[in-house]
Formats: sequence, C-alpha cells, structure tokens
Amino acid sequence: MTKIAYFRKFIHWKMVMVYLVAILCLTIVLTTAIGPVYVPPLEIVALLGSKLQLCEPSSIPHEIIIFQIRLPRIFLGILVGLSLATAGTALQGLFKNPMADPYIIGIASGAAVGAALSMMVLPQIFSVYTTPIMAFLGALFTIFLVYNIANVGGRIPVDTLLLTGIAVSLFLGAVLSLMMSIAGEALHNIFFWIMGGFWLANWTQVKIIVLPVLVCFGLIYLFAKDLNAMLLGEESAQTLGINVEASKRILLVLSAFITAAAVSFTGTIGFVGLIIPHITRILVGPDHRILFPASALVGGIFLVWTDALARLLGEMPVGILTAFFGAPFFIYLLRKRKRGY
Amino acid sequence: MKTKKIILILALLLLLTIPLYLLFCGHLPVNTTHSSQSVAAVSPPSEATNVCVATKISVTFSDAVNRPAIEAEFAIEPSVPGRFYWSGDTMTFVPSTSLEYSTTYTIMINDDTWRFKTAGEGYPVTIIDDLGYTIALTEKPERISSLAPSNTEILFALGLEDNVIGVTEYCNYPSETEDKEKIGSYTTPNIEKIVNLNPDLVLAAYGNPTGTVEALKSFNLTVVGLNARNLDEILYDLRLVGELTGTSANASVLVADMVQRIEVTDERMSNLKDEERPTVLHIIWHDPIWVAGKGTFEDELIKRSGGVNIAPVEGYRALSLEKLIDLNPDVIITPSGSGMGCTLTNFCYEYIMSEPRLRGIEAVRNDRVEVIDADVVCRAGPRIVDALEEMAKMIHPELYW
Repeated sequence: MTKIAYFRKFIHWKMVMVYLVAILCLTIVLTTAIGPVYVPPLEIVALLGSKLQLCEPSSIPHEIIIFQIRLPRIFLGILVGLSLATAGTALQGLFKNPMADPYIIGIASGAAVGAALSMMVLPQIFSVYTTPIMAFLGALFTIFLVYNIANVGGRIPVDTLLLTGIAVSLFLGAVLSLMMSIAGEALHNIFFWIMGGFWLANWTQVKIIVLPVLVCFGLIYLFAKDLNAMLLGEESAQTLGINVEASKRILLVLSAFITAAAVSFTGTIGFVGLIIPHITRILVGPDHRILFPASALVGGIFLVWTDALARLLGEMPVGILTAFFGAPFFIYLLRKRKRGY
Repeated sequence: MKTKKIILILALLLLLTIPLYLLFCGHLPVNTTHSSQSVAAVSPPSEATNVCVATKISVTFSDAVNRPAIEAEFAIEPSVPGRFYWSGDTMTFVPSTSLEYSTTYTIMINDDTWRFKTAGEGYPVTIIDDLGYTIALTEKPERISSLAPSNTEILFALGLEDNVIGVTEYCNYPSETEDKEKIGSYTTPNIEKIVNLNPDLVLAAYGNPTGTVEALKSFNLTVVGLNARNLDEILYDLRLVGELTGTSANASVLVADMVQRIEVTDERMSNLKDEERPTVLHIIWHDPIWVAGKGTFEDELIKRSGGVNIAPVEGYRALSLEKLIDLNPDVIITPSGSGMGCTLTNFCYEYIMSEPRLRGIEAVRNDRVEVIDADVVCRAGPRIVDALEEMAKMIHPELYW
C-alpha cells in the first residue's frame, strides 16, 4: 500500500469518526426531548440555562425528568451500547466467526443466573446493588469456567472455546429455566431482568461503570492491529511477531469484563453485540483500527434511540426493540451490499 | 430484480404491522354508533333448567354496540337488582342478590327474548362458572381442593374447613391451611397430586396455567373456575360457592356483612367534593414501575375509598419514572413484601422512599406512601372488604380520626 493511499484511508476514517460523533451528539440532544412526559424544547434550553446558574428553573419536576432521568438513561445507553458492540467486534474477530457475540461464551446466561440467584435466594446484602454485583460475578465466573475447560495444555483452540461456551450457555440456560419455574413470586423480577431495560438508570450507575468500560475499551483498542493480523490466520499472525495465545487470552478477559459491566445494571440486552459490528463492518470495512471506535459509537447511538422509543411505548423492555428494529435494518444492509462477512 | 425488492420491502412492512397492531389495538376507540344489536350468545342458555340461583347473565353481541342503550333496554322478569360490566362485546349482568329458587326468569333485550328456570334448593344444580364452563352437580361435595389462595379463603369463610382437602403452597390464610395437603402452587398446580386426593370438587381460578382445568376435567373431576374482576363479582362468587357446597346460608350472612361494610365506606365517601378526593397511584412493582390502571381491583378500591386513580393505563402496565413524577400523585399505595409473598422488606415502599428523584412528589413529601397487605388486596376473597377499609383509611385518614 502506497503512502498516499494510506493517507487517503486515514482521512476517510477521520471523516467517518467526525460524522459518527456528530450523530451521537445530535442523538443526545434529540432523545433528551423524547419521553412520555412532553417537555418543550425551549424549556429544555431554559432548564440547561438554570443549571449554568443563568436563570431560575421553570419547573422542578421537569428539571428532575431531564437531568436525573433522561440524561442518565442516555449516557448509560451509550456506555452499554459501546460495551456490547466493542465486545462483539472483538469476539467476532477473535473467533473469525460472524455468529459470535458477547453472549456466546456464556456471559449472558452466567449473568442471568447470578441475577436470578440474587432475586430468589440471597437477602439484599448490598442493598440495591445486590443484583448488579451478582450478575457481574455470575458473568465472570462463567467466563472463568469456560476458559479453563477450553484450555488445552496452555493453548485455547478457538473452536473448543466456542463449543465450550455454547455448552456452558445451554447448561446455565437450563439452570435459569429451572430457577424460573420454581421462582414463584420472584418470577416477574427475573423475567424483566432478562429482557433488559434502562428503567431505573441513574447517575450513580453511570459513574460506576464509566471508568471500567472506557478503560476496557482503550485496552481492547490496543489489540486492533493484532486482530487484523489474526484475521489472516493464527499461524500467519504468529509469524508476524504477535503472541497469539496471549492476545487471545487478554482479549477474551477484557471482552468478558466489559460485557459483564454493561449487563450488570441493565440486564441482558440482546442483538446489539451481534449485529452492530456487522452493520459497522458494512459501513467502514473490516479494519479493526476503525471498526472498534466506529462500532462503539454506532452501538451507543443505536441503543439510545431504541431506549427513547422504549420509554415512549410504555417502558417496553429495550431488548425487544433492539432486535425488532435492528434485524430488518441489518437484512436491508445485507441485501444492499450483497457482500459476505 | 425490482419486483423482488418491492416484495421484500412489502414483507418487512407487513412484519412491522404485527407489533404495531398489538401495541395499538387495545387503544382503538370502540365503535358505538350501532344502536341495533345482534345477540351472538347468551348465558345461561335459552330454555336452560336447574340453573343455580347464583348466576350471572351474560350476553355476547356479534358486533360493537351502544353500551348505555343496551343496558337501558335490558330487562329481567321477575326483576332483580344488579350491575352491568362490559368486557369487549360481552355484557355481564351481575345480580346483587341470588335469584329465587324454582322460578322461570325471562330476559329481554329489544326483540331478543330468552328464559331459563332456576334450580330448587339443594341438588341437582347446574352452574356456569366464571370461565364459561357448564357444570352439573348432583350431590353436595364433601372433598374440595382449592387451586388459589382466594378460593381457599372463600371456602374457609363459608365454614368448609373440614371439607377442604387440598390447598396451594401460597395459601397462608387462615392459619389452619398449614395442616392441609399442598397440591403445588397457584401457578404450577400438580395435576397428579390433585387427582390423587380424589376431590369431588376442584375450585380453580383464572390465573391457573392454561390447560389446567381441561386436564383436570379429562380425569372426570368436577372443576369450577372462579374469576372475579370486581367487588360485585367477588360477592357473586361467594354466593356461587355457597350454593355449590350447600352453605348458602353462611354465604348470605357473609355477603350481607360485606355489603353492609362496603355501604358504610361508600356512605362515608359519598359527601366528598371532587377537590377533596386525592389523586392516588397504586404501584405494584418498581423495577420497572408497574401500576394498577383502569379496570383493576385496585382501581375500584381506590374509587370506593374516595380517591382518584390517576394511572393513565388500562390494566396492569409499566410506567416510566418520569411519568410518575409528572403525574405527581397525592398518595401512593404499595403492596407489602415483594408484592406476592411475605418477605421482610417492603421492596416498593423502600424503593420509592429512597429514590432521590422522587423526593419532590407530593406523596413522598407529605409522607403519604402507604403499604397495604399484598395478600389481602390482590385476593378476590372475603378479605377484600378489609383491603377496602384499609385503603379508605390511607386515602382519607381525616375521616377515620
């Protein structure tokens, strides 16, 4: 590749990022005005002014709705979308499999079993944080289990890992079904947690996950070039001087961690981690250096919009809407480009 | 190629319409311009005999009708007091008293006329249960299994504790239920255990899993399903179970007492002006926030307790936190425990009181977030009157000292 072509590509990437960041900003502004309670756009501006001590807030309930309910929802949505899309991109690259998503190695079922356990058996030891903590631990425990089962003499063959993940997922799925069948009064809690949603998002939750999520994202991004090389095959990557086994291990742990952090508060929101990387790949190409930041932004934008719709539709679980609107759009893109993975 | 594309787009659009239909079909206004009606089905059926004196009269129309006009045209001879309830195109007349024994009743709506004859005192008797099944009883049932806590409470209140042989794991009132055989839970009754008990009457409920009643019937068990959706229907169910089990005398004493207590509360609230009726929201769960909307038990209890239910939904639905702040209710009522069982923490109450974003709403500011016994308020049994009085005290403490 000549230097000029490389330079052009770089400019192109920069433009893509500028567009996506602009769309994200626009998304934040627009979705702030969307919700079951109508707050006129001008009033939102006035409320913003009151926050900057420019004027008195016009209405206290509206101020709470905008700054304490909608904005934390939007930011949590961005973070969760970012996490799931990043983990999805990393794992699809790692497994060289278009079916891979953050949940395929059992993270979702592990988190769900942890959450269900906290709802059914455990007393609320950490008050409102019991379920998020248990979900997080459940996810990490599952990935630890899968990782160790798939570990054959210090190496982790990708297909063994994938199959182990599926087997453990199915097993935990059965455990979850068993728990739901005997849950009785806790059934509705488990049911809603599995479908996922941003009902009770607040700034504390955003503050708790923002740092781990962004740090993980940064670390995963460092492996973009390694992933590019690994797309050529593990042997080729090895000859290019990449420690494939180490990269695999670190990427796996980081993806699990970022996904676990994302699902701990909001429940297992499906679809984003599977489809968003594909959509972004169709838009910007398969190079992980641009794919990671772009899919993170697309994931965030997508989830914020679906959540805005969810709150308009009487607090529908957002996981239903992500699949509902994402799948047709993905099919449309697939048909239009007619390009394989 | 082009046609293929168009077909694809059309198919996707078609797919999109399904959930949109699901979302909005519940909210479409009912066409009320028809004044002439066509009756599609009636219950009890025309020329039926041996009909239980505790019976509802329901009429299903083949298309949308003008409800007030139909109610005005409805006539029953000999006349019986009662109230009308609608569910879709079905009108149900719930008499407030039992009918007379061995009497022929004639029902008229415009030109449609049909008649049925009630049973004499005792057995045999034919009843039409709340699930729409017709069941004939030839003798007094002695071994009764209940499939719901509300049914258990009804049976015990009628003095049938010796005849109850099976209850659910959720049945916790009265305390004598502890010694009874458990047949599984309300949501997962164990067919085998029920069959093994060999009951001569199974009292099921609408909330039992689909197919339970059919499965039990296939073993030749006598199954009666109850589904009360309002206070009138609870009173009706009490009378019905009384007739079924030969305890109609107990039932009429119990019902009379309940009616009297309801009237006392109604009386107390009758003089309230509109501005004296606080806005009330009954929150049944907090993650996500679920409220009891129009047409629920809680809705009726709030109304009768002199409050205004401001839940902007029908039935039980999720509500956004922001909508809750916007509605700004004067009183919030939450169920005890986790909403269905007895746990030590009152989850909804704890959440609402500890949520900083809700500090500004009237109910929280004035310390008017109340906890009501979940078992009492959500069971369609005799204790519903306790729930009513409890709620009246919560909404109008000033009327109760």
